[in-house]
Amino acid sequence: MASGTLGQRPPTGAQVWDWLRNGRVFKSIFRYSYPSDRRNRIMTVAKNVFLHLHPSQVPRGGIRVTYTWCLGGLSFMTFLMLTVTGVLLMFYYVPSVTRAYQDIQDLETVVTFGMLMRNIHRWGAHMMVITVFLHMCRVFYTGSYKPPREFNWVVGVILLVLTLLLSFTGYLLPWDQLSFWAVTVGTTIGGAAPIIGKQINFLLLGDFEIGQNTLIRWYTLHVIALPLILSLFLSVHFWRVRQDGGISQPM
Amino acid sequence: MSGSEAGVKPALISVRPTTAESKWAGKECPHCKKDISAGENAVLCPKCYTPHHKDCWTTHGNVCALDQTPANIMERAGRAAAPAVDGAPVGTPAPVKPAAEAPAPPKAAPVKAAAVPVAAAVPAAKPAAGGGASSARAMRSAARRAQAQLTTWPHLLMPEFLSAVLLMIGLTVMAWFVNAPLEEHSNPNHTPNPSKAPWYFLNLQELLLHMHPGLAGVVIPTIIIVLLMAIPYVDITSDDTGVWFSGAQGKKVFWISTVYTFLWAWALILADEFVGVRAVIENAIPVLKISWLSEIVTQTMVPTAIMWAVAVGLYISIAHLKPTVRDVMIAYFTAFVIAWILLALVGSAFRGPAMVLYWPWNMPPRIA
Ligand code: HEM
Ligand SMILES: [Zn+2]
Ligand SMILES: [Zn+2]
Repeated sequence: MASGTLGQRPPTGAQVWDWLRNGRVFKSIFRYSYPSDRRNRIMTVAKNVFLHLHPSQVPRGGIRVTYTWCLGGLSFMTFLMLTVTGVLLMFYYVPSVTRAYQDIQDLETVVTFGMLMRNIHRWGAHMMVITVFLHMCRVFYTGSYKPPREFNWVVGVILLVLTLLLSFTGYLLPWDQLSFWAVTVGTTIGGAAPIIGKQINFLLLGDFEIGQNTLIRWYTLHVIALPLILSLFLSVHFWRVRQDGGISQPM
Repeated sequence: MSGSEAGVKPALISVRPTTAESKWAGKECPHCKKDISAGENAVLCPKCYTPHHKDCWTTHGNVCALDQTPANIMERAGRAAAPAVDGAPVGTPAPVKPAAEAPAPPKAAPVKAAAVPVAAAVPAAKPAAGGGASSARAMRSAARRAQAQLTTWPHLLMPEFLSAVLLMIGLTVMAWFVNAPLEEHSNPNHTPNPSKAPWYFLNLQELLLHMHPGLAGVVIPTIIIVLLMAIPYVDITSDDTGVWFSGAQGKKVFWISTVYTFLWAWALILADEFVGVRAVIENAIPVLKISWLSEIVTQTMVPTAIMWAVAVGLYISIAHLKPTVRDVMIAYFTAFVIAWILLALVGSAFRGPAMVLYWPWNMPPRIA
């Protein structure tokens, strides 16, 4: 029972713990105590807004680490880390051709932990491309795209394309030689499309050459449009994993 | 829409010759109650994986004798050996999917559940009213299900949490020690040599060196995306879901395709680098000196023909295995993965100034 009253003597550690753990504040956040039996464990997951993305029980075969290699989960975690560090970078970065490069330099030199944030964001972006690709390979080689999961595979392919686009749009933002010429190469490829090449090129650049219009387009895509679209497809992806009977499992 | 069978196709299952090692060898066929022995043809129910004699399945009206899941037999040989599953649950006579044993909902079943029988394995699928034909069976299946199911907390959430923490530590440590590149301010008047796309697009940039940019940068990626999306609509058997490479034969196909693709990709890259396919053809056929004509012939038609030939060659080199549809999928998906990685690698580590090939250890510095 919650013992909110403290005696004359200083409380023991156990009393403080008990007061914290069973007090009104904690109980208002987490209604239940630590779930140690099957029924309560199921309830814990089913009643928690963050956890109820999961089913409350999972088949034994589906959670072997050597089956999924956690790759879907790692892709998602990386995406979350990219979102957090990306928001922090947005506090300092202005998508203007006169400021962008200077802002990155400031991030690296004067902003506290700015360099760390930029590095995490950069390496995380590479990492996500790798984990998503490997996740696709895992799903393929275990035959997990087969009915009834066909559509979720299609959603997955869209997620792969979106991941590549997110990574590539971010590549331009530092506005250094590396980004400028990588994007030149990339958009020239788009411009080589049969028939509508010129139009595609203009759509990508917002101009006839890379400049302010390009930067603002790619910035907007990178920080708003693509993350939103990716989140949308991610929700469908996770939802379908459950609708299709949970993740596939070795027979 | 009358009834669950209206307008929906039952799953397809393949015939599996039984060998002594097959997982189902010696299991009882629920239709005739006799054991399935080596040499006999068996099929597995796509929902509960219970083995039946092939003929018993058809005699039983092409439905599972236990749970009435409909499935048609695909008339083409399946795999001879048992799917190689390491660490599959032991002691479970016929490994079951969760909730799969609930008797199939009769006529009034929601269309979705009937569309693909396995969808009935959705945890939400309610046992059908009036399906209580055998409460003993229901109880047995409930017990089995409980045994096969673990609670999400802590069995799934703990590993997830741990991998999340490891990821955060790993990324932070890397970010602490390795700085992201930042070169000079961009300068439209000064092109670095070489100018490269980010590594995950260098495979496309590599293709660009060998063919028309529209083909390399637009047509091929589009075809790849469409083909990837089409995979599950071509390979439609679902009785080997969850088995790495679908067993020993698939693994063999994987290795054949890996070696085949690796050798061909290198051979073609080197041939174009040192022989110069375009120049050779233009010299042989003088009319191709006209540049738009050459663009069509040497930059579009020849590369397309070569890629087709290599693709057909891949099928020929696995044909002796009498590949199933799944095996063909494995062959081509693997070819895609290997080519994709290899080309990105060549572009990142082997291409120097003017995109000429160098050994990575002899790479001249980039002229920034
Ligand atoms: C942003 C990228 C992606 C994220 C965050 C993601 C996340 C996940 C997660 C967490 C799962 C649960 C099982 C697991 O971890 O393996 C899953 C399953 C699945 N994913 Fe993805 N995924 C992504 C991209 C893809 C791609 C590119 C494909 C395929 C082209 C794909 C196809 C599938 C399929 C078919 C399943 C069900 C697998 C099964 O039932 O075993 N996903 N995904
Ligand atoms: Zn039989
Ligand atoms: Zn069955």
